[in-house]
Amino acid sequence: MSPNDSPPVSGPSHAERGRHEAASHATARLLWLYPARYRADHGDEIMSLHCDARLAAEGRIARVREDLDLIAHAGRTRLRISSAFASGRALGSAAPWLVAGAAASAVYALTQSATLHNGRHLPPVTAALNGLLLVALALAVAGFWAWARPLTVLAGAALAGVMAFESPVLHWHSSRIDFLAVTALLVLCAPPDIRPTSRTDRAAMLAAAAAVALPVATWSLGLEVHLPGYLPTTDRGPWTLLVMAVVAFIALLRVRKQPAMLAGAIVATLPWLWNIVFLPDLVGDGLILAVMALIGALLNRPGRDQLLDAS
Amino acid sequence: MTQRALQEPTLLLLTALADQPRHGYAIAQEVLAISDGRVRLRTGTLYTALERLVQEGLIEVDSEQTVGGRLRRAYRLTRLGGGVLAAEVERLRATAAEAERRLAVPGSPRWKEVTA
Repeated sequence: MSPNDSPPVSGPSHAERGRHEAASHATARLLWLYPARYRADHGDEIMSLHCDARLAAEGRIARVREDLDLIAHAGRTRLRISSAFASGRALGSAAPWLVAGAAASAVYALTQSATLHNGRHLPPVTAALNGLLLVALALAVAGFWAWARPLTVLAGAALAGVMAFESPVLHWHSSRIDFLAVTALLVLCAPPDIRPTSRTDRAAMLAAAAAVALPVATWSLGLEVHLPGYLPTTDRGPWTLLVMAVVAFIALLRVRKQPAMLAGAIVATLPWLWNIVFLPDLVGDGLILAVMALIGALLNRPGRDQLLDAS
Repeated sequence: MTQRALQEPTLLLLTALADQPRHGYAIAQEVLAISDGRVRLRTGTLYTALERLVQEGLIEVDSEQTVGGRLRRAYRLTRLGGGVLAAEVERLRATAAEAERRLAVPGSPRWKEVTA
């Protein structure tokens, strides 16, 4: 088989012809998800690629996964957040910090629950979902980003859903629901081809999670520490923002000519704002979403996509 | 020039194109083989990466042909892409050599294993 061989497309049997037609029809339907201009420019090539991949996929599940990947690509292209856009590269750079942040908030929830003496421990399902966020960080640090990313999305979204049905609805409780939902959404939207590869990147994720979580954990164990913020004992003070500011500063030092990476660190900070802003929910949510939209617009302004980031 | 380490999909994709031009599906198959089955680039992910690398000038379109009614666009490494890949290979080689050297130092876990 030569290097450029594909699944056969000439002289197929009746059954094969049927498979080719099915693949073509399925792909043609999915292509409508792309913006019209993009479809006109790239549709034929994507059609060819996806048909080949679909024909080679063994079993229904494999074909569904191929389709889901194409649907995600179409969605990212519509929203201009694939890694071909600066805003996509910013999201890709933010994703590791978001995974670290979700895990740090899980440490907070679990240590609080484990050390409370008033009988208000986390329900088992909630505790298990928090545990999965820690597993996701462990997988990411171990280099299994392809597993860490969906696990953070699923556990974060499930936890937000479960918490929404729990009581009592305290401010911290509801703000963490927002925090988890936004984190899951941002990680879901992040382009999958940008991932923390180097040992330094992965160690930095662990360090950021530890920097956010350790003051809380040490307080829970009875070792009080004094840090900037309302209290070192919660994740609602500016402490987490300070940690993320350090992350952004380091990103700035490392990649002065690649603003998408700096923007990524800033984007990763935004979910934490839900935990600390004391504004009416809708106003706070609106403000934060406006900041996100502004960052996206600035990154994607004409001429910006020539930036060479995140290779 | 110091450059950041390449993302793994990028490294694998450039490696797949290092010896000759290939079209999208062939690149995906090569990446799967090079990574020992670990990295499977599905259509959307692969296409995003191809688009980005073309933008960055690391790869370019080599040829286009229509086979069985389907457009096949083959890509090749540019000079810049070849240089970036060569620099990455050198960086990985240096890291591997240093790891080998340290593992051979008496007292390292590997040294103990070999001499046991």
